[in-house]
Amino acid sequence: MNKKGKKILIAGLFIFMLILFTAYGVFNANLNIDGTASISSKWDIHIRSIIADNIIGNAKSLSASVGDSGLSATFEANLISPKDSITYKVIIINDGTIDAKLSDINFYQSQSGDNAAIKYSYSGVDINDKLASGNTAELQITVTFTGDSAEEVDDDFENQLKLILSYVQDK
Amino acid sequence: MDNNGKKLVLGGLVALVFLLVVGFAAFGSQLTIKGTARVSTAWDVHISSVVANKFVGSAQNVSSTIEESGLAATLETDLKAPGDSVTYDVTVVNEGSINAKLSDINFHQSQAQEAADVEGYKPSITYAYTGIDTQSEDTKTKLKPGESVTFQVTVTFTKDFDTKTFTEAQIENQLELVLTYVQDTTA
Repeated sequence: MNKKGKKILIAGLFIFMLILFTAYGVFNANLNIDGTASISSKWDIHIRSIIADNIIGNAKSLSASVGDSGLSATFEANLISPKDSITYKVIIINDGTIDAKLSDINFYQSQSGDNAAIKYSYSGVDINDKLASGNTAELQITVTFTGDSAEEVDDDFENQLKLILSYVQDK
Repeated sequence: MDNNGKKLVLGGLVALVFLLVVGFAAFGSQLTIKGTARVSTAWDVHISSVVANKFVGSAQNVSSTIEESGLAATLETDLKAPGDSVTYDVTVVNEGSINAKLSDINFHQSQAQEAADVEGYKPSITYAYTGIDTQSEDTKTKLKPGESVTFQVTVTFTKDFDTKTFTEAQIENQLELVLTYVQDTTA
């Protein structure tokens, strides 16, 4: 082959290679997929409200309030005559995104025993009760003056309650 | 891996474990409800006033007083002629916090005892009370906290009494009226 032919051949090969490279480049594309994932779950179980719902006899509710964090509530009652009682209604809310369940109930009163003049009781919640996200639970706490005669009880006799409800994630 | 590298890995693992623990602990809450209940009772039933309200004839009220405790009152009356009488309004009030009821009335006159013991004896002075009893459902028997009842005690010089036949025992008649209030557990 003469020089001119060689040049033409080289040029042609070069152009061919260029075309090949270009074609290959078109058929070879990097596809980038960018994704962002974030966790927005929220755990929020708290006491929404406490009110004196049912007052019997001469009983008086002096106060009932929820603490700033919503994790505690307190109440104070005055009982005057035997059979006086007050029932407090407590609303617990699952304001988070995670389902919960009641894993433990710790119920303690400072004066216990059959002869205690003041007795507490509760109802409405039980261990393993589920509290799904967005739902509420209602707990009733009743305090009763059980004495047969007020004259048998020292004035200012007192009984204190501590009720602890432990909620955990319901898996 | 050199020491620095190992330290970095270890530190990272510890941080990761810490995050896992914190994350796990965040999914549990304790709700604490505390209550205080107090018995606050007060028993206070007493006589709040005694007033000589009605006079017949020339009768006079000498004195009518209430003891400091409010649990006793004393009346002294001067009757001059048969038919004379004085009526006292006595008020009992429940200023406690417990329902009360009148369970017993003990009414005793000294001349009545003489009359019982001596045949033909006639009292010159008689007492009577109205406005209270032990059987009613209203304040004549039951007093709720804050309520009161006013009843009457009348002392009379017997109208047709023959003063010429006075005995020493008939010059004076003493009254003892005892009202017993107890807690009303039926209210």
